[in-house]
Amino acid sequence: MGHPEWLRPANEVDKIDFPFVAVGIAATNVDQKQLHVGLVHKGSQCSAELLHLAWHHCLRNESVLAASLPRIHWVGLRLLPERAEALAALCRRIAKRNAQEIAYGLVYTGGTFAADGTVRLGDEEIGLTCATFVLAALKGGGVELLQLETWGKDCEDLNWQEQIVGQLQRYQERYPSRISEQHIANVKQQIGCTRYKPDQVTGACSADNYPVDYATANCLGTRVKKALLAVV
Amino acid sequence: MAPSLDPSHEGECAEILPMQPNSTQWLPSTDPDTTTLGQHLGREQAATVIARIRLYQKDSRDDRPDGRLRAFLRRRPTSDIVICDVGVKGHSLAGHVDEQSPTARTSPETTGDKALREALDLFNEVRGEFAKDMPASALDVLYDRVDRLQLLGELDVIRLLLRAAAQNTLPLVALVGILTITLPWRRELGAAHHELACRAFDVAATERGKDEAVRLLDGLR
Repeated sequence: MGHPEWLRPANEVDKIDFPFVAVGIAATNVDQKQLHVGLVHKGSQCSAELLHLAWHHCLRNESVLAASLPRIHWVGLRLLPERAEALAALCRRIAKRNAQEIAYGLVYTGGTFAADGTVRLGDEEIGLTCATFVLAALKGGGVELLQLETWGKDCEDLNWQEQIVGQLQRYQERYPSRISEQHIANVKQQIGCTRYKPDQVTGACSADNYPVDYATANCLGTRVKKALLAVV
Repeated sequence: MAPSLDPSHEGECAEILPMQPNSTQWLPSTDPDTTTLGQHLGREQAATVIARIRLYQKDSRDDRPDGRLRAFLRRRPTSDIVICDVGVKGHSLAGHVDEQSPTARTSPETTGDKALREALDLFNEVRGEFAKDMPASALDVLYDRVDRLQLLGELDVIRLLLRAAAQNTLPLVALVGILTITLPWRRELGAAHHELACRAFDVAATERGKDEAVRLLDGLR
């Protein structure tokens, strides 16, 4: 199984001259196989931008071609142009309203964004990950990408979640004003929850129909992950 | 089902009178000829009554909504809003009713009228933006305006905007955009959101076929 034809390199966004929305993915730490996702959006007469939750209270919206992330690839959502235009507008709205607003959190139960671009967290949610940020934004535009109820817990995810808590703690030590100890304690309590991975979210975009179940998204996500880490 | 009309007009055919895409005369809100009138009508009924209104206008050779027309509309059951495009010179009537009082209102000072005017101003602004063929910019403007209305708790104005959009000519990208922007309040907006979704589906099905229309509006209806 080689590089999926639907996983496109960043520079190909230039070739698209109609509105579109895609999920963009990058390998931010090859050794740890850490991936990061966001939404690539392009409205009419606009350039392609990547909107992503980089970290706790740190939402970024930057040019795809000049983004701070290495070797971005993307998978286009199967949307008609009119729908993509509206979704791209929502992405711009979210970028405008949330630069320092969205907290980091592990549990995702279906949070979304309101029309004014502000986040509406779901039950038990205290923030979002980069992957659940994508799910929430898409949901705000009426696109349910994943069948959340088909996801199970994976013991492999425990390690990742513990690493995240460790990184939040180190972040707090360095920048005590930027994140509270209470928030970190709350995130710690979420360890063991269901995880929606960047590669699964990205792979799901290539499916014929949404929402996508776990088996399909995981299969497609594995192809994304292998291809991306091989590229790096 | 057609409403019970003045017997002298039974049998007349009816049609919705679409707006000219670049018309600037849709609602001359400062025009003394503009009057608000209440009526309760579904879309099919509205089509009939709009045609009847036009018939009256033509018969009287006069664009002014006269007392006879007002009396006719006052006999309609009331509780809803319909926006009509009438008149041989392009003048319009915007009918509304205060739900608390099932009486046709003609005073421009009522709360309902203020909301209606705001909605129609917004509709005209949005239509003007889309007419520039810059949909991304038009959607950004719409987001800003809807934000403000939502902050002010003016969902009535948003409802009226949806109904105006549903009953007039807008490009498909505008219909889908408005549906997306107002999606978080779909429940609160109720029938107005549904009416616009139906309109968008009809337009999409006509332009692209039913399968594409279903795909386009998936999650928005």
